Amino acid sequence: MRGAWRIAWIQNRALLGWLALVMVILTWLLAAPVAPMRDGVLRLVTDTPFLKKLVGGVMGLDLTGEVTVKLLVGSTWAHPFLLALTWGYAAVAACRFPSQEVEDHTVDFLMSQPVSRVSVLAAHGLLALLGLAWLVGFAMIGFDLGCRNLGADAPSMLEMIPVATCLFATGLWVLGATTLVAVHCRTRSRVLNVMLVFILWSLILAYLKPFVPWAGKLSAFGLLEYYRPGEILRSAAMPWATVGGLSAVGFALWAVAAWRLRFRDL
Amino acid sequence: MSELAIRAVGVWKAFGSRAALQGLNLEVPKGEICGLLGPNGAGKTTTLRTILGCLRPNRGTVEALGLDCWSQSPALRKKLGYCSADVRFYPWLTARKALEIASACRRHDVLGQGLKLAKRLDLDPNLGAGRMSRGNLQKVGLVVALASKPELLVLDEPSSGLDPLVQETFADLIKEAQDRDGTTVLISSHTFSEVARLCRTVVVVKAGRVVAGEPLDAFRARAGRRVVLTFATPPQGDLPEGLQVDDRTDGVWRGRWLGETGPLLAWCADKNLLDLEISAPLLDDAFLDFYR
Repeated sequence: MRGAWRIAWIQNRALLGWLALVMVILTWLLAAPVAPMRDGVLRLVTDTPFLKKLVGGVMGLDLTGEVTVKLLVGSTWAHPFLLALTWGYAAVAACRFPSQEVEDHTVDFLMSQPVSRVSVLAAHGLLALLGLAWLVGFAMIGFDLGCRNLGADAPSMLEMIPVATCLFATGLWVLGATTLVAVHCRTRSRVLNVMLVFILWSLILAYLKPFVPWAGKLSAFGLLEYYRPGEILRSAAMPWATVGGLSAVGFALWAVAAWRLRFRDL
Repeated sequence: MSELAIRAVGVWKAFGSRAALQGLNLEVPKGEICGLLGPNGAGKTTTLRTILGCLRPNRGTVEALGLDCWSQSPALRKKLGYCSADVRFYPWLTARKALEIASACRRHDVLGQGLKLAKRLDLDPNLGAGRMSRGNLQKVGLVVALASKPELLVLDEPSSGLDPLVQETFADLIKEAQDRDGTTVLISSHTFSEVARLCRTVVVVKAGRVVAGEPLDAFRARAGRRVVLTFATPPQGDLPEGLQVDDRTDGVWRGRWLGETGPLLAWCADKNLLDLEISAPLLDDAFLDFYR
């Protein structure tokens, strides 16, 4: 597995470095403007029912009550760019083996060495998992830097840990699902297309849910139904059931992928 | 009967509706250098990738060095070196890194041996694959395949892309491996001269089946010799058994002679012959006969 691990690491390290930088800048950029504009933004969200519903929908929260600064700045964690970066990385990392390797014809190099397919998949999966944790960690750093000028209203790092953990768990789910799709495809683009459609579907459902009844009925089939940063912030508790459920399903999907990989041609 | 390095029995492999292997049977004795010949789409690469354990046969069994090529492929690959026809690597991979990774996978150092091979093949071990020519990529593939001194070498058109000088070195390396370590080599190739130079046995694959498998000399003898007969007056009557004339122009007959040359010379003796040319048997002819 050491050889496979080394390949996975070299393939991912540059991407992880750049994405970490982008993650810090993004979360800082999303959180930092809230302080100088907090009154105006709070009034805007409170006084505009459409906006209130939209923000509430994306954050997985019924915002009929008071909209606090903490909730407002916490919406950073439901921003589509942040979700796209996290889930996008998970999807890209998960489809490197076998679909990308088969597509690029580089699979012969590792498959001519005495390594099992599952160990190669495990090396890539483990690195993707660590990469996810790394990215979520940098998201927290950027967010913390962006919240510095909020003073007492700023959510603490400790309060953000349950949100970050839940985001990590969604990434793990995406990782497992993408791996399962990847072991059935010979091209990376096909895998990414499938995952892109699913992620877009999840986002659209979350945006439409407050406005369209059918979207509410279907929301269980979207990933954002299980990622509710607003609710987590308000309750200030770790959503163990959700995190555990997402992680368990993610691992189960990966395990099925590993089992299926044993039977496919490379 | 000598011990077998590769044994494939009734192997079928289909990709969708296209059957690439249709009941392939193949036996390669240990220590042999065996050439696998066949036109494009005959099933050569599929055969080799099945031995490597990348493809799972739909039916039949493939064993190499006493191990099942599908279910025991990681264990088999400890003793196997493979180089594909279309060698591609990650753009960042150098020959040195490839050897280091191979060492990590094999849990023994192949870097030293690999660097020696790279030097003999005139390959820069620090050049990234993204900046390599096709020939250099092929060299990296060969270096990685040979560095671990495998018991079995499976090479898919290994010298395509190599210049003639490097092809010479490659042939020397294969022969050395066979002489020194008793390595069994299975080479798929379109280059008849390469097969003629390296291989002791030849296997011809056609439409997913082995249609011939025998020692090289016996195989070559099937083709006969090319002959050019120049007559002052072309003879009439029946041709001797074994003479096949493909072209008759102005008293010059071109064709093939199957068998010993004595009877041909005897037939020519009273035929007003001006000139006679007889070439050595050509592998190309024997191969092409299978596809006509």
